[in-house]
Amino acid sequence: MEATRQAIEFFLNGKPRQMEVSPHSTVLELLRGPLALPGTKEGCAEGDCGACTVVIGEKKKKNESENIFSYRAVTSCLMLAPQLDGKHLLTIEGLAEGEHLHPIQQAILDDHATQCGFCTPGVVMSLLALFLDNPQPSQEDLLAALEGNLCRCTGYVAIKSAGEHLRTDWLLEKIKAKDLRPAYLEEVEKILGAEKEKKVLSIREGEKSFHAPRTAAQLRHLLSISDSKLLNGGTDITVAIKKHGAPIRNLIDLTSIEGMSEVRIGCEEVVIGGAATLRKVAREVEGVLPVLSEAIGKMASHQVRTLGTLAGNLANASPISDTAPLLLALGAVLHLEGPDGSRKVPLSEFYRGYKQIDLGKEEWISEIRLPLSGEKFHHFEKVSKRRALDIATVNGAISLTLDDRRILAAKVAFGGVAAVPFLAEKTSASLLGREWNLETVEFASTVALEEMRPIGDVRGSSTYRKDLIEGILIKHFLACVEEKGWEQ
Amino acid sequence: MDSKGNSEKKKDLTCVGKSVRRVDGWPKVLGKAKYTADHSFEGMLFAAVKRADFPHARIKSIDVEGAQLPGVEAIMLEEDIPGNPRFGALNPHQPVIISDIVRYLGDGIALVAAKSEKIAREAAKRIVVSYEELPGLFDPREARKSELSIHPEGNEIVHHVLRKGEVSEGFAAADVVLERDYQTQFQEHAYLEPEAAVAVPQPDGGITVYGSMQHPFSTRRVVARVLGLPLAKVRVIQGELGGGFGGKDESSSIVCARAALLALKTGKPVKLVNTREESFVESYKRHPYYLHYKVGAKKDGTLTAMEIEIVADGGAYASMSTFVTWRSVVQATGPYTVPNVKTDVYAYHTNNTYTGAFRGFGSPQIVYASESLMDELAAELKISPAEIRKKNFYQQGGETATGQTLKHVVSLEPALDAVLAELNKKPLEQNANPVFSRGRGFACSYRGVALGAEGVDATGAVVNLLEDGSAIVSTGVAENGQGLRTVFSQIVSEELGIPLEKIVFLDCDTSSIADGGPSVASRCTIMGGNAVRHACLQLKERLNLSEQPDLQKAIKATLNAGKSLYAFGWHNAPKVSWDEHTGQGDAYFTYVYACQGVEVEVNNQTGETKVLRAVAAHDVGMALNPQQVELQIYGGVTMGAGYGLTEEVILEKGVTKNPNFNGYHIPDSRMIGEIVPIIIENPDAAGPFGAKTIGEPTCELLAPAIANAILQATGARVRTIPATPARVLHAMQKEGAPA
Ligand SMILES: Cc1cc2nc3c(=O)[nH]c(=O)nc-3n(C[C@H](O)[C@H](O)[C@H](O)COP(=O)(O)OP(=O)(O)OC[C@H]3O[C@@H](n4cnc5c(N)ncnc54)[C@H](O)[C@@H]3O)c2cc1C
Ligand code: FES
Ligand code: FES
Repeated sequence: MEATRQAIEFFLNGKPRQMEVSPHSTVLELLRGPLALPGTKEGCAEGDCGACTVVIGEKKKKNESENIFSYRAVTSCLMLAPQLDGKHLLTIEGLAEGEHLHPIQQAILDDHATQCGFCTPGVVMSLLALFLDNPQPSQEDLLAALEGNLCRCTGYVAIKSAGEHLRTDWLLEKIKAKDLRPAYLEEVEKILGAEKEKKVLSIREGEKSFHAPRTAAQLRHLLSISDSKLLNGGTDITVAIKKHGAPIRNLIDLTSIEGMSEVRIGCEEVVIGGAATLRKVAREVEGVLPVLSEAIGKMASHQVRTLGTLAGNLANASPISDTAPLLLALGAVLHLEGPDGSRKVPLSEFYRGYKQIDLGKEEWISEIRLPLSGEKFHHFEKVSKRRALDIATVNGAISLTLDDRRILAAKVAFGGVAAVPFLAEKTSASLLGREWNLETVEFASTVALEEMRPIGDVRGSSTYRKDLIEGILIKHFLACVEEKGWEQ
Repeated sequence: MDSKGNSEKKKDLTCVGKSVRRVDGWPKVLGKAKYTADHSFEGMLFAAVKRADFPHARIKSIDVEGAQLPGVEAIMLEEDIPGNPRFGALNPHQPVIISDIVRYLGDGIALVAAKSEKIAREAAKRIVVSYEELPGLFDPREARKSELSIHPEGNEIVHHVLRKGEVSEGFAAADVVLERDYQTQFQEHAYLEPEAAVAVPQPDGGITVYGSMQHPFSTRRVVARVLGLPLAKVRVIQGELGGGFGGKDESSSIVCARAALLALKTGKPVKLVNTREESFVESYKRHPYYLHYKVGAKKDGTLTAMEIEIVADGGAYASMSTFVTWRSVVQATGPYTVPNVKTDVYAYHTNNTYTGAFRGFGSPQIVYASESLMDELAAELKISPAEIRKKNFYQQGGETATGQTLKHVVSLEPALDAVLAELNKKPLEQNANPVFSRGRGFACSYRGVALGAEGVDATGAVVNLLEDGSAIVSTGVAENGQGLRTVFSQIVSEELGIPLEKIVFLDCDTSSIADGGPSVASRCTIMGGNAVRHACLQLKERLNLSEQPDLQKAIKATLNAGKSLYAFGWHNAPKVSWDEHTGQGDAYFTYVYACQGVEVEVNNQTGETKVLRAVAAHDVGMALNPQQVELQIYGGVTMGAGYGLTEEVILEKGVTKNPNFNGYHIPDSRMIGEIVPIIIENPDAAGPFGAKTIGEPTCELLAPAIANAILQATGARVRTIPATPARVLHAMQKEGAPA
């Protein structure tokens, strides 16, 4: 393979940095350690509290000649430091100019939105990303931007009102872009925009390594010469390494591969690249498959969805993944690339057993394809203790082709009821030809309870899970009634 | 006095009573506030702790051979501790590290200091301990009966009694007698900043410890004891505190003591920071209670008797259990006049995580139970929940369960009325979607202010007025993130007439101020505020401000006269009393009153419950800073929602099953739709400018209000909190509630 680089090159609060980093270290470790910037806090080190939120700026190709820059809030405890390469890292230390507070910092002060202050840097950075990313944030966008920042002191009231004041001032242009955008952004965007392709980043330290190929060919080659783990957003892998001591040595990063983060909407299908983030997918499919955007909106938090990918969620093979049941119901097909070319696998055949998937050692998911059909009724339900940042106890999805109320085709899937995301084929079949009404729901429930035998764990007992299977089927039905405006 | 009368009085004040901005917000929004883990020193080492592998076991051997990695500079066992390895406020039996018997999974066995945190953690992992496993006790009701004893002194930590009248007569006179059992959970403080300490050895053989703690003086006591040093050689400085809520006392002292041990041994600065998982496993929690209530009432709702038995899980060590459960025994009946009361509160050891102080301090459990009970009784008697309460509320001049006559304004009824008016402003409207049912509920409480007859209650403050009219203020109670710096600065500004910008508040440093007791029991404003005021009054007298109102001139004259402008104020709480055999006495010198109401929406299919709206009315005596009071209400109500709905540390045979935020759910920003705070003011003679307290009562009411609202929504009564979706659904199935 061609020559490689050991040191990462990135911008930190407007200043260029070049440094060697440990291949499995996180951005948070880098900030609080070698970079000596302790303003970014650690509250959980697993993506659940948002205290470590920072903003990442990066170049996105708009077309051949033009670049655009995107900014997103991410949990720095989940992002690996080598992934900073070529990006702009903004932290709480990079906002104020001397004694002059940034408008967001000022709003937090004015609205009494800081008490102990430990969550404050993360809150500020979440808000910054919102405004840098979204010229017209809605109230809901504001709430979504803040949902990943836990605060134990304030009860969030003051934080939300600070955000709301900023939002209205921003929309009314009382706050100008030049005040909100740190002055150095323009310069950095210019430099990064003009940057030519660099050598592939390849970092080694002892037994550990990190590689960031740019092309499928480079990826194929890397996979053929080493026993490696594919890395996407790292929201599962980083936790596995840091919290569970997973014996992972070589990481191959998919997020720098040309074209792999794209989402294309065709007439008959949606094609989602193997490195497209959850946020990106949710935005792009909103018009054609709103049910998927909604389901993604119920996952994790904003600053985790900006890192995590759809492919990663499927490949991680958690039995309680939120996207898997929906994609099963939607009839998703995976495109896998490997040493011998590519092959297609329906998602329903991808899961083999607990955390077992049909994916060879040298293969990767290059695309996820979802058929489009405007006719169908789709619905997704997730039951959890808390709205954001909570793994479901049970979730479920349905896709129905209806002729008035008669069911012509049905796919029902559940998560949290078996060792793998579960396409309930018998339950689906039981619906065929029937009228879609409460009686049918009841009938389908009895079939479902025959077909699925959930076990109990910390998130819910076996009995409760059974209750939820029934409850979710009823909710599917009622959602349909509401959507179609049927009389009950 | 009503709130109008007050605002008249308030008009004369220039700074107190105003919503001035926090004086310490600036460094926080800049990310420059220094929390303990942000401190760094030249040559600093990092520490890690080897913890127990079993919840109850005898240690047979400890092998540190494999832990001697390159970069490791010290490994310490109990035998290496120079001073006394055990500590504890009441019963000094809690080990800093232990070598004979482990009693819960948080116990430390060995300490490691190394060049990096990674090496220290790796080394700790390689320490091999062999054990003889002992049978464990994981339920205090079992511990009560068991032959097995977790400590040589037995399993019972404390038994508080309260006897008033004769309950058998009271029940005989009743038309209705109701018995109910309730249960509450382990709640984690979940301050966003995990415990941390940095210890720096000093040239004189002493030590300076920066720590994330609520009570620097109790930390000093523990560190000095463990190191075998005089108190004067231990200097404890509070780092910016990333939340405490009662949780950073013993939990923090132990972290500080461990860092200090390693620092003294190596002669180098040592940093020790708990991971979130370590924090969950090691730090004490809110006590789970098992509560049995028996209540008797006349047909018209008049209460005749209450018999209450409460068993609390104290966990592995005694900690504050005695004090926490004492508040419970005082307040267990709720704010109701009951002529005949018999209350027994027990706490027992188990091999679970130990339990201790937590915002509310023994009240959230009993308020949840007694306020659920009042609604159950009202339903039984077919009268409204508001009516039964009003019938029995404590009154000014009336007598409490402990036989204390309430001489101040008792504002229970105004609080209840205010909440109902706000809550019922609009009639309850059901969701058009039949999956959801809505309901409303409320709860009332009274709460003793400060430590009460629990212990000596006094504190000090220094006001150091400088020649240019600026002032340095420090107090013996520590800032806990709740805004003391601001409120105390306001008092100084008010008394001396200097602008807030000229007041500097010093962080608590044990070597420069007298021990002021802990920042607990919501005693800070009333106790510390009075001490600050005393110091100011001394200065005013020395300055002779009544004759010479120009401060600058007065300062000059005073200094020229050779007098100091450094004043130390000390405040002793008014007298209280307690007879531990009868549970009778003036338990607290004053009380606060509150009511919270809530509207919830329950999903009939899944049991998920949403809080649409919460209303909280609190009598605070006088709001020194109304904005800060509202902020306390928002925070406390939200914490109460977590207590009622989502938060529960799941311990199975002593093992914490959810030691991080992915499994332990504190409320997020979407959990509550709206919170409406209502401040009621009835200035109290005991408080500075009439102020009483607000921090703790805010979090003791929402759980029962939610439980009562869930009942109204679904017909199902949840008698165990948190009311998780599964519990709500289960209760609905049992009651055959609407589907
Ligand atoms: C705080 C937090 C909350 C969360 N909440 C939820 C939730 O509510 N619901 C939910 O479903 N999930 C949740 N998750 C899980 C996680 O975010 C998702 O599983 C995520 O989508 C994984 O994507 P990733 O890009 O981060 O994967 P990574 O961590 O990078 O990889 C995950 C796995 O997928 C493999 N992989 C990744 N991409 C590919 C590819 N293209 N081809 C083949 N294999 C690949 C990797 O090798 C690895 O085994 C949460 C995670 C966190 C940290
Ligand atoms: S530290 Fe909690 S999300 Fe990163
Ligand atoms: S202000 Fe303390 S956690 Fe938010």
